Amino acid sequence: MSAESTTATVGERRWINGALGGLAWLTALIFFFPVLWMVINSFKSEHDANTAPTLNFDPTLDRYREVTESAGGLLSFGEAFANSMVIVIVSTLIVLALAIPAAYALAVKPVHKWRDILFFFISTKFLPVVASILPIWILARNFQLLNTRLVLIILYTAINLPLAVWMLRSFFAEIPRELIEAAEIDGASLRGQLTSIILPMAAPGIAATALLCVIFAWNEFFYAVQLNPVEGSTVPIWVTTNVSTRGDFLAKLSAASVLACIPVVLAGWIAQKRMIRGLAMGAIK
Amino acid sequence: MTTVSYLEATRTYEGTDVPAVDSLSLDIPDGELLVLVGPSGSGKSTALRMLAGLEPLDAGAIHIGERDVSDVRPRDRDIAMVFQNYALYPQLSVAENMGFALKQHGVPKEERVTRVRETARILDLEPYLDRKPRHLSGGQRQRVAMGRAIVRQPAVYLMDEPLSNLDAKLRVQTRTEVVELQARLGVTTVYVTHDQVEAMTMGHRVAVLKDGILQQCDAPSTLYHQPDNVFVAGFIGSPAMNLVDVGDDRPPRLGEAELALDAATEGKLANGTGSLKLGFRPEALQVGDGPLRARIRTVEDLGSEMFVHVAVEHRGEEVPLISKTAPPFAGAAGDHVGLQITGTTHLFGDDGLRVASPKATLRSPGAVSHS
Repeated sequence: MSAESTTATVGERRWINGALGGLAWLTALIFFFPVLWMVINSFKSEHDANTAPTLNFDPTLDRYREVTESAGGLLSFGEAFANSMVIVIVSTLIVLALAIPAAYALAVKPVHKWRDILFFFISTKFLPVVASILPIWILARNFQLLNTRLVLIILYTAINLPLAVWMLRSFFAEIPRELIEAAEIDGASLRGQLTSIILPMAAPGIAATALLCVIFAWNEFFYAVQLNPVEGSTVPIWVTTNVSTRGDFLAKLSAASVLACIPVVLAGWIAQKRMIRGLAMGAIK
Repeated sequence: MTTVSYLEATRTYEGTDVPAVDSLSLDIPDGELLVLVGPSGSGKSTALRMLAGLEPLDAGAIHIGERDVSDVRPRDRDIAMVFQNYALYPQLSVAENMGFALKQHGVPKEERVTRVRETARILDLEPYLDRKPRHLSGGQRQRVAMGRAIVRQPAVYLMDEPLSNLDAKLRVQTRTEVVELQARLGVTTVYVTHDQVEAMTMGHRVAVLKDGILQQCDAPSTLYHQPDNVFVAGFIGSPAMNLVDVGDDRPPRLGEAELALDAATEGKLANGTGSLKLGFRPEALQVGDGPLRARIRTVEDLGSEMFVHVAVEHRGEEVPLISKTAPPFAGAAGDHVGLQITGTTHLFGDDGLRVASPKATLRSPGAVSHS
């Protein structure tokens, strides 16, 4: 009797697991659908894109050709892409260069009142972005930084820095203390400890942090559109230039959006390979 | 020639008033394997970390050889440390782990390779030199940790419970290997453990710590036979010494029996007042015939020896005692038996310090002393 009831329970559980799995897939597909729709639209003609949604169409790369063609006087894809790359890479590198020593200090050799310092870092994120735009715009104008890459590099660095310090601190804190002490006894200098022990071990965490910084900086729109509408504009601004008041633009906009997505998807894919590696496998015990 | 001296070394952690290590004074001669032992929180690891330079001193000093190293950085102390969890660098191979310190100290590559190979040979690690720590077993990792210390040829080895992560069998085997290795290398070694068996079997001398205070530092047999105080008496030895409060009765009484003491001890006790604690090792307690009535609680048969747990009525309470005896033993749980003490007893005063260690037996009250 009891054996039968056990079998029934196992069967029931399998059914519930299957149903939950199906539900998860369904949810994922619902979330993924707009992206899929965007990708499909990007290969359509404007006419096909603006009529009833259908999968029956002639795929074409013409929209991609159109959006990447540089039209005189207008912001070109190449220009926006170059601006974005420079701003994203430089600001992320600066963030890491500043956040790694800060996180080390907070995690490994905590200073007095390190909790307050950590809270101060994150408190800078409490302010709504809109509330800060006017003073920032005035400052940027006074320092003649409007429509320059530099202003966005400075801003994205400042915005990403607190989060990077928080994230890196938690990754550094996971490194067994004894490893750092062992390196200290083995004769490694502070720099030696960082470069030969801490950074290699925290590499997955650093990759994750860098990825977040890259994603934020790449996608940021509000500051970019306020401060750099003419020169030094980034890819998100270029995407909006494909919104037209004359004629249909849905397919073109889709193609532009896909192009804007590719770099962050690539960055995520590359970083993920590093992130999934175990953090401290085999270090202790 | 490297000696190590703690000179009233004190360490108080932030946020506490009680020192983790309190005025520790200890002289360790060249080539000695000294074991620091104590329960958790006794300050033994802190004492070791102070010697390593990982923990600053709040007072006192530490000397390695002639040099006062109290304010010297860990890497300039010429020490090597084996950590409890081994602390191997996970991203480096076994060879790189072992050669890391040499590299940091600027040893040329050729010499580095030679020394790592030589050490790996001693420790049977040659087949694993190219592996990462995560591909090694616990015992192998432990040996790499030892190898990383040995290869440096330092003035002092520090070992912080290096065997506690091994299973019981491997631990006993490795214990012997560490002792042999230390004897062969002849390098002064400070070894921390919470396991008194490990301490007794490995140490040339054993320093017993409690609450940051050194209780006694002596050869293992001295600790066992002449413990300075109640704590050392109870901590050293397995099963632990029987310790019973006997109050201020003279002669001391245990249950309905009294202790027959020699004249010298009786004289000593006559002068000192205050309540006493009576201690005797399990092997000094004979179960069978004797003036002290007891009930057997359980009998543990280990094959080569037997532990008989008994309960006696003492001062209106049931007091557990333990006897260690060679098999065969006929009694069983619930049996009523008589107890006798044969051998050394220890008497501890109010302050916990040992007053006397007379050879004594139990007798029925009023019986004539035969000593």
